[in-house]
Amino acid sequence: MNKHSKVLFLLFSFLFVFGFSQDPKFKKKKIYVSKENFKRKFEASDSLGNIIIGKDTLIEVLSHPDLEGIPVRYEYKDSTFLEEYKKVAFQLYHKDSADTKTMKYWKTPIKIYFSEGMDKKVIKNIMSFTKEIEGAVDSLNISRVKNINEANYFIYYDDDFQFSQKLEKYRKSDYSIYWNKKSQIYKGYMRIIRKRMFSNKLAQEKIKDLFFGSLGWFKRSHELGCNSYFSNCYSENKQMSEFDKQLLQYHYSYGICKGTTKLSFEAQHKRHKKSLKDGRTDIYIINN
Amino acid sequence: MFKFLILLIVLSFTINTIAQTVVDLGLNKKKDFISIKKLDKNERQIIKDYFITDNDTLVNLKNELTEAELKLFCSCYTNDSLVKKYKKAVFYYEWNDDKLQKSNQWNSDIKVYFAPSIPRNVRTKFIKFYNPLNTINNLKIDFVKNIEDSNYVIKVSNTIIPNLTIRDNKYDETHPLSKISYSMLTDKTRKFYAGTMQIDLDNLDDKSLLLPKLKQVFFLSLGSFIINKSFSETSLVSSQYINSETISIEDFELIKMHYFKIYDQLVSASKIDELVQTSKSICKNE
Repeated sequence: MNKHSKVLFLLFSFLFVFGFSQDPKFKKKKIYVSKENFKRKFEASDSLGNIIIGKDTLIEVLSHPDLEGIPVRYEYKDSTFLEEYKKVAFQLYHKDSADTKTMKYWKTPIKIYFSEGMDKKVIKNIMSFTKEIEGAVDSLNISRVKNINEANYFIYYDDDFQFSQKLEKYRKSDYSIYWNKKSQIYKGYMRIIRKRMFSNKLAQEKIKDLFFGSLGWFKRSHELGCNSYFSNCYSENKQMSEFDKQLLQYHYSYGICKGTTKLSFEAQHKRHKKSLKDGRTDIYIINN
Repeated sequence: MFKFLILLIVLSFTINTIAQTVVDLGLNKKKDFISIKKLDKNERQIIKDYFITDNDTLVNLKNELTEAELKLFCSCYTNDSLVKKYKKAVFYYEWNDDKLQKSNQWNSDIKVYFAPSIPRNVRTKFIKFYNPLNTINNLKIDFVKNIEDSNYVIKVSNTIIPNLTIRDNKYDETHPLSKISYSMLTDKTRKFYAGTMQIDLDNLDDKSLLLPKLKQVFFLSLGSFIINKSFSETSLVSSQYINSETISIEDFELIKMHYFKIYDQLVSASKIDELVQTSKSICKNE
C-alpha cells in the first residue's frame, strides 16, 4: 500500500462520506467505504457498486453497522484558521514525524472535585472560567461535585491526598488525562505544587491554563500571542480570546471528524473542500 | 532647479520616515488575532493575516518597531562597550562559546513581597534603590504588603544555604551568591512570571552583607544574569560589588538594553549577534 493509499485507508476507517440529496430526511444518502473496511465489515452481496477516487476504490453500501448518530453538515473553515488549529490539536510522535497522535476530546460531562486544601476563592474563580468555556462550547458540560465518587476530574495540591500516582513524581504542576480507543477523554487529574504557586492568584492562573490544555490534550503554540490559552508563554492578562473560543468551538464541533490524526484531518478537508468547490454543498459528518 | 531640490529633500525625508517605520527585527513573531472592529485607522494599514468568523473578522497585525523602540535599539546595539558587557552578563560569552544559550526576561509586572523576617530598614533601602528602574520601558517593579498580591517573595530560609562552591573553588560568605539562593518560574519562552529569593540570615556572620546580597541577587534575577569578575565594582553583576545607595549607570544601561523589548520567542546569543549586525545597517540615521 503506498503512502497515499494509507492516508485514505486511515481516513475511511472511521470516516463515512455521504452524498445526500437536498432531502432533509437523507432518504437518498449514499454511503461509501474503503475496500479494506468493506472486507472487514460487509458481505460481497452488500456492494451496490464502486467508484474510484485517484488510485483508491470506494464501495457503495446501503447502510453501515457503525453509523449511529445524527449527520452534521461539514463545517468549512479557511486555511489560515485550519493551519492554526492543526498546530494546537495534534500532538507529535516526535519532532520529525510526518503524522501525529489522534486529537482528544471529552465526550462525557466533566465533573470536577477540588481537594479540601483548595482555597474557596480559587475554586470560585475556576468555576467562573469553566462557565465561560461552557458558554462558548455547547457540547462541553463542566460542573463541580463535592462527592469524590461522582467526579472524573480531580484538582489538588501536592500536600493534599494524592489522587494520581503518576503525577506524584512530577516536580512541576501538571495534569494527566486518560482516554479510550475512540480518543475520548474520560478522566483527568491536576496536581499543583503549592510551594511554586505560592499565592492564590498564581495557583488559579496555573489551574486555568492546565485545565484548558486538558480539554483537548492541546499542544501549546509558539506562534500565538501570550494572552491566548493556546500559547506556550505566560501572561498575567491571559483570557479566552475570540480566537481561543473559535479554536475550541471547532475542536468540539460535530462538523469535523473526531479522533483523527493530522494527516487524516488534512485528507478529509482536502476532499471536502474539493467537493465544495465542485458545487457540492451537502457534505455531512457522523461522529460515533 | 530650486523647486526640484525642494522636491528631492521632501522625497528623501519621506523615504527616510517610511524606512524608519517598517523595521521588524523578527523578535516578536507571535500572532494575536483580534477583532477588526478594535483597530484604528493606522492599525488597519498593518494587517498581516486574517480569517472570517460567523460575525467578525479576526486579524493579526505586523509587528514593527515604534520610532521610540527603534531609537532605543540603536542607542544600545551600536554601543560596542555596552554590547560586550551585555553579552557577558546574559550569556557568559567569554567562557562559554555556546551561541544557543538563551536570554531570560520578566514578562509580568514584578510584585515583591518581603517576609516580616527581613528587617524594615533593609526593606526601605532596597525599595529606594530599585525605584528608579521603573522609568525603564517594559519593566515594572512594585512592592506589596500582602503575599497574595505578590509574584516575588523575599524571605529568610528555613534550611541552611551553604557558601558558594564551584567545582573545587570554595568561596566565603562575602561572595554575592553565598548563603542566598533564588529560583524563578519560567514559561516555554524563558519568560519569568514568579520567583522566590531566600537568604540564610541565621548563618550569615556579617549581617551588614544582607542588603547588598539582596540587592545583587534581585538584580541577577531580572535576567538570570551571570556574576562576572570583569565588571567594575560599582556594578551589581560584579563579584566584587561595593554597596552603593544608587544603581550605577552601567547597570541601568544594561537593564535598559535587556528590556528594550519583551521578546515573545526564545532569544539566543546568536540572535543578539544578528541584531548587532542589523543595527549597523538600520541605525545610520539614528
